[in-house]
Amino acid sequence: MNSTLVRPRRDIRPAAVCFCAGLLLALGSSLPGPLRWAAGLACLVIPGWSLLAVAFARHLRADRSSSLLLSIVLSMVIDAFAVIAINVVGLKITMTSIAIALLVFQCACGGLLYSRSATLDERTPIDQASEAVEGDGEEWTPAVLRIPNRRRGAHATIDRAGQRSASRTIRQAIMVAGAMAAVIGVIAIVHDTAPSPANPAYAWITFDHPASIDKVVAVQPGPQLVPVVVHSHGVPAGGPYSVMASLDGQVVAGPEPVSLASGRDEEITLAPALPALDGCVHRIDITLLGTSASASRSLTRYVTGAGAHGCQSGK
Amino acid sequence: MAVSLAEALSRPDGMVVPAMGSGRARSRWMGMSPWTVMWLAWVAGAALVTLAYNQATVSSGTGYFAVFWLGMALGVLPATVFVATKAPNRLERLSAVLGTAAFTFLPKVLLDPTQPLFHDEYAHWREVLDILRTGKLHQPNTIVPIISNYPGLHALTTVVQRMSGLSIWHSALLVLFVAHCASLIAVFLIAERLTNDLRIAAIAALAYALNSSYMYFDTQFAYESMAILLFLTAAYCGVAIWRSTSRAQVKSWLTMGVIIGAGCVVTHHLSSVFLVGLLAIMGAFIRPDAGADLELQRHARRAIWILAGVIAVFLTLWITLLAPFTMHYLGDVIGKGTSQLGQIITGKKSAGPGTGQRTLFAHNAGPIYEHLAAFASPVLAFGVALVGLRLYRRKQLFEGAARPFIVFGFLYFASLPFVLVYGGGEGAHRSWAFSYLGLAIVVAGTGVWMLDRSLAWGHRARRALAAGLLATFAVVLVGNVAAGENTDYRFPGPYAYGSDTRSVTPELRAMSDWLKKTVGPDNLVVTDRYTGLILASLGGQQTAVPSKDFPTYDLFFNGGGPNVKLLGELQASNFEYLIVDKRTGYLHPLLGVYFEPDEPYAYSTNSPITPAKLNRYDTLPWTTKVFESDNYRIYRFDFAAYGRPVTQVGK
Repeated sequence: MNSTLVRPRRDIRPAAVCFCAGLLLALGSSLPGPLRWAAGLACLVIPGWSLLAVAFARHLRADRSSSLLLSIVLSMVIDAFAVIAINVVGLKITMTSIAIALLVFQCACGGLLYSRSATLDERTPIDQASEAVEGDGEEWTPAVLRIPNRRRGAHATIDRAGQRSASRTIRQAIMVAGAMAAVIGVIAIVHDTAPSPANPAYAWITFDHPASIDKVVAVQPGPQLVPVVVHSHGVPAGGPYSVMASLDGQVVAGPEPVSLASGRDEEITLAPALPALDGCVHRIDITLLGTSASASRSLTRYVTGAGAHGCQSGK
Repeated sequence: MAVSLAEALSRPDGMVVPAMGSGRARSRWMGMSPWTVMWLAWVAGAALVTLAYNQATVSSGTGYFAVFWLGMALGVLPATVFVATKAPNRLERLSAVLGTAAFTFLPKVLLDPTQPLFHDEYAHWREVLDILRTGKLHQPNTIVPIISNYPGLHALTTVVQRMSGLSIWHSALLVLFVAHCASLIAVFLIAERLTNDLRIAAIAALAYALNSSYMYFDTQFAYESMAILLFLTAAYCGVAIWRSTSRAQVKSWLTMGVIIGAGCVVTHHLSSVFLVGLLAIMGAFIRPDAGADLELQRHARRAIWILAGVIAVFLTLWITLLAPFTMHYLGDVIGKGTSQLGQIITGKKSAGPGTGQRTLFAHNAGPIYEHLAAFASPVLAFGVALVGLRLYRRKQLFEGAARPFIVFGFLYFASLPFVLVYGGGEGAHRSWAFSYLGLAIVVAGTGVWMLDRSLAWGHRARRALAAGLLATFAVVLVGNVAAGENTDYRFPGPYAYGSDTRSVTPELRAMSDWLKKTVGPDNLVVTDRYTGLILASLGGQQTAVPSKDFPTYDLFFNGGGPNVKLLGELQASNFEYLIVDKRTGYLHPLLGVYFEPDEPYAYSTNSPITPAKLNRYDTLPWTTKVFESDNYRIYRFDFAAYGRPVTQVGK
């Protein structure tokens, strides 16, 4: 077979683009605001794009919509597997580890592209011709990696048709952006004019340090300090409110009036004077008392006599 | 010159007039370019959908449904007409499909632009939060435990969040939006490769968008929303293998299919099962096209089987080694649905709550026309699909490559009986997002065939057919969405007890914030499903996962003495809080369950919980009430005090 081998010369540019894209992803996370958002969006396109260029561009030829779809889907899979790989090797999943993983992936793709650029050149004209008829679409190298090859005489000249096409694309992009802004603007206007129903008011009562109120506590006779917090959002119906404490159903402190103010914590310390208790468990109820039982809220605390042993029968 | 949508559709060439200054023929609608009409329709549609949501928050009637559907019709129908005409080129069709995809993302995103709302969204949101917090995958999840074994979506969202700096929720929305739009492009490409017809491809994509899951269920932040895109793209790889023109292409598509299939496996179990099923159906049912290279197609068929086999092996390994609970999870759904359906068919009466026949739209507050459309949709789809099948058999429509998709599409109708039983309803609903791929292609092909045939008819007949097809499209849009989700998942509205979406109130969030601020996150908590959603997600707590083996619901259902074994388990596991929604005692949950579908009394009309059963915790020494608001009580467990007598009031 009469084959003419083209002298292998490696083309660094696609690999460089791949590496730069990786660097952009890696450094994008340190950029401010919208640029960083763009880096997040790029994570959903660039890794897949690179993989397409490396692994599939040689045999698959398709249109831009297919390559865009596959770039997105492959990017999703690569991103997910990058995190799984980080997890498998025992590293923590952080911004740095993710950025490094994606950079490594892009570098690997760049390296493969670099080595492949020579391999492609080593193909015989017959090989190239036969591959050219394999697909009926355009060459499936992502546009970002499709750099004019001066060596082959494909000079980067922009003709008028190209200029027209570029200006049309820009015009269409502006129109799409404007129309999307119109959609978002209309939604915002309609949303802002919406009647919003008022949220119902509510109030709660709680111990100041609830984490410590978890045991039946042995108490001495005399006043006990019980700090509670009353909080309200709006002013719930059922007022005026007061706070009181009762032991086994008998009032031992309060009621002390409490004024509820929306969004503010009202701290109240009750000091119920307790009699000498036996070894039985007694219940202290602290109640935020409204005008009706349904408007009341309460807390409980269980106590027993200090030093007393045994609970008398009948109690 | 004004043209109605039906008229435009009845002229597949569009209203063709030469554009000024160019030789290219362009269609005009109402004196404007179709694109201007579509953009105006999208803007107006978005405004109406937003308006409907506004009305839903304050209205007690059903008028807002009509406003919503008017908005949706504006968003979907002009694009459908546009792609059904012959005038647009490929890019224009793809753009119209993309625009419709973006528009159909609006209803869900307008529901919850700032935080999770659907049940599973809370689970996935919490999973990503825990991954970001700990730096490790597979964090235990108390809302939906199985999701920790399928980290694909969480890993991807983590990458986007870390790289973009957006919040978890906005990163999730970005992923969802991309997946939602790309899904229709995938359907377009599949149909295009199968039929070589751009009109069928575009209509198939829009017909796929009519499936019950597309607008709400598959736009929620959950693993299936990402996996459906992977399913569709892997299916596209399968079709591309078949359409390859060389062995090298077959190999490349196979490799790509394996990569995407592997991504599907690590993302979602059910999607992977359906993917393997579709590829197996392709391998079994696909037929060589006329004039095809038979040797190459034999090779391609082998490759499709290999693709199915590799994904099946990977899925089996993943389930066996990392997610063994999946078999129980999926087996339970399939087994229960089949047995309950069998009971209905054989006439055996179902026993026990939570099993047996389901009343369709029992708790659906939607208007009657939605219900009628929901019943009409499968009938209409079946009619059109039957015509498509007949045309295929007469070799008037589709080539052999489309055969497996016809088979796959008819699985939709096979799944319909399962919606009649509690055990199968959810599984059937979930299968439609997959089977609709086949159905959409069949229906689109049939629709285009009809439109083309009508060119030989009179003008009136043509218009009638076009209007009929458009009306069918609209009815299926309304019916499928209505059948897919309850109204409380589709519209904002006032508080409703026992609804995942409407049980969230400022009071609940404040209680959850208070607990997190006061005692920190990750406390073990027993509570009901609806309170637990917020506590386990935004509140950062770990809620109990009730089951027959760990029946924490007994603390609510049983009025007598507590289950000592259960108390022992709660103590051994270091459960710290019991949180009670007082309304549990006197309101019946909208979804029919208080905790989970397998609980006793699930879907029962009797309320097993009474105020007395809940109030008893006020007087038990092992539950100290440390917080009470209008509707919530928080009790702190002190298991050491269990059994100690308490002095009664007045003694």
